[in-house]
Amino acid sequence: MALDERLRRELEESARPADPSGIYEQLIRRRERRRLVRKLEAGALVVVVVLGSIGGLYALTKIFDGANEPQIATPSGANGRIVFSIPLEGEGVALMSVLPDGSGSHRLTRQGTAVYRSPDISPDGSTVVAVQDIGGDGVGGDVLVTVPIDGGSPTRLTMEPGIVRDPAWSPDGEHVAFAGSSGIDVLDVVTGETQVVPGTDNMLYGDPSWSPDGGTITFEGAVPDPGNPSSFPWDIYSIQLNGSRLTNLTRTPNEGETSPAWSWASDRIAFIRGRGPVRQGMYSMASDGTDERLVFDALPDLEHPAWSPEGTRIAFTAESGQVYTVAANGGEPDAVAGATGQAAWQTLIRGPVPPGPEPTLSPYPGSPVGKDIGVGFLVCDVSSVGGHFVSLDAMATALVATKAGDTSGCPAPEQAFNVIVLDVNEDGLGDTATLPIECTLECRAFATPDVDGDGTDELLVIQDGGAVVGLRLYDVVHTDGTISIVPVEIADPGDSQGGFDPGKQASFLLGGDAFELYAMTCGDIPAPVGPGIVATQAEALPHDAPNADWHAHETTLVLQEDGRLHVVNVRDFTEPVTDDPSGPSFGSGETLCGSNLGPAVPIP
Amino acid sequence: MRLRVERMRVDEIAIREFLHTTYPRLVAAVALACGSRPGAEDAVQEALLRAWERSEKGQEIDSLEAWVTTVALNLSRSGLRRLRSERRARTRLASPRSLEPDVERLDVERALSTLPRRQREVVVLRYYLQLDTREVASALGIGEGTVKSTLFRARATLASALGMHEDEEANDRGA
Repeated sequence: MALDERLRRELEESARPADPSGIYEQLIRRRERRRLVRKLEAGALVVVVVLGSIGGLYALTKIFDGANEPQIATPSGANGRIVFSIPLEGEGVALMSVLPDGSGSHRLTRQGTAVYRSPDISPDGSTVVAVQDIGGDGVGGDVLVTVPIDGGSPTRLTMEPGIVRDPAWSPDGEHVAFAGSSGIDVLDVVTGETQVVPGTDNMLYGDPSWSPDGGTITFEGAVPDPGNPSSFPWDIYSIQLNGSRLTNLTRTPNEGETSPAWSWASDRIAFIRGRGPVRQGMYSMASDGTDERLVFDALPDLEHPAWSPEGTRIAFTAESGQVYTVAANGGEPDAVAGATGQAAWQTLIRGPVPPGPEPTLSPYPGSPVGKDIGVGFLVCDVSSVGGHFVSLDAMATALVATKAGDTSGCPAPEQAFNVIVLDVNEDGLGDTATLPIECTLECRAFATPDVDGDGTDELLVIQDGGAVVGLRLYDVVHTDGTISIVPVEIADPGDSQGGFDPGKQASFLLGGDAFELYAMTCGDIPAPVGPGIVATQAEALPHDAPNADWHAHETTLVLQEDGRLHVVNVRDFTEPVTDDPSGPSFGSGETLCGSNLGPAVPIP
Repeated sequence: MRLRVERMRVDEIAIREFLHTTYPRLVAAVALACGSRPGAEDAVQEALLRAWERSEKGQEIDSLEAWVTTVALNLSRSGLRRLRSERRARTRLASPRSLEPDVERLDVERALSTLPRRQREVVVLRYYLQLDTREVASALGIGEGTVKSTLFRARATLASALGMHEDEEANDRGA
């Protein structure tokens, strides 16, 4: 019997479905207990809240005082860069920007596991506001942050983690509307005061977007269908900041409309109609809900329309997150190469030249620019190593490359996308690729050691350059006809002293100088989990002394069947520093588990 | 079970429907993944309650099944939570439900218990809840490639533990 079939059948037999009777009542009791506890906790805060409310009333007056008097419209500007949130392999979700033609990509947020979503760009084009997930459990651990358009450290706009979604700058740049815990909230970015737009707190709500004069907000909302109280049809609403003139602009009880985006240039509202299996479409309408026009409906999973500042095009997401732009009056969309996730479009107030960061020239002059290796965009700084990644009797090529930038040269790897691509049939085009990987100074295919002794190779990629290079280990997995390049993680408990933290991708250091050495050698553990890798870090102490000793920390790791590297031995030792030209006993050799440690082959 | 994606409000009707349709198998799945029946019941109920409260605050949930599955698995990883729920469960030992005859664990379940936690979760979601790899990736908050590699390793271990011949396993993979 096939394994899959047996697993399904026997898991079905051994699992014991729970009896749901009485559980609803248990949930009610649990909820009531929790409410009681919260009331007790809240009682202690009453004094603070009352004092705070005095200031809040003042701020509310300040925000809503000119709500019925339209302000001066935001000056229109040229189309600038597109900012988007993108999940990165082995990391969190980063903010990046790119020119609409897909060139000049640039990372705004730092390397790491932070998660940023829902970017929107200030009217002057200088600052991105986004949601940063700092909770991690998906239950309201978010804050609002701002990040400079050229990149930098995030600055919190809200301090306490909570429910924060879909931030949108006001046209004057002084407020940010967002979907909060109890309605559409408006945050004064100067005072930090937040007020709920009255009337949005008794319905479902999301995705606010400001009118050009800043007096009205459109948002997606839902109230019970009078004919069917359990149904909540989504519509596009508008409401003035003081809570007056709540208007359902779409009024379609049998269809759902979401994600409104108000163009400050054309005064039209774009939105998405339909959800899930129902055919979707992106439409636009006048700000009073009339003159509805279909913009685009030829791709699935349409989401997040964002107007270009000139009002001529609309960026949107479709098909597993790819960002496209399309003319506001319809037509063929253009994919923005390398951009995925929710997008926002920057306004350029002055001059036609985008003020975005200058792509840095590669430290490797002569690198080709614009090579096509079948990943959907042109790449540069391509390097490769060959190996038996998939099977014992067939060679394949692993390529590491940086997405090409403008015509000025190949961007530095830390300022662009970098990808690992596997060419299985050796036709020069990738058959599978990773999500973008992080590189600093250098991004290069390095070696193909057979770490677990099964005859097929793993892949080491240099992702940090310098006198000591940083290497990351990848495995090629062949499952159900699908080949994937996956990062190899460190299993629990790891060896933190050796730099192998559990749950993190295996990262090795290699190189050094007279005082500090990082070495990698092949272990001698039997297959199928061996030979393994022995990683040693050592420091010669005392420095510059004739009687110095190497103080070494050695970690032995094997690649087990769970696909992770397990630390099987750790030891500390010392040995004298000698003049022996072959170096210390723990130094790296010319090969590592069957792979040469020479430079990867550059692709002409 | 398919993870339906549709924006919804979590109210009494939705909760009762969830309890009737999804709760029994989801508890069984989480129990297989975490190895603790009381821990699984507690985690799923807590996740469901959080979804309810979230909805009461006006937060929409795209898919109640997907959301509760993810949060329940996250909660069930907490050793402290499992310990507490098992301690509470001791007081229920005299109840008829707790005195069900102890069904002898089948080979698959025994083999499953030897897998690392992540592999167990992937196997249970894939083969018991019958989610596809994309849905498993979404439920566990990991990449689809990671799901595939994890599944690959888990299958190899299970095939070995269940004494299945390599050619059977290979045929299965190719199928």
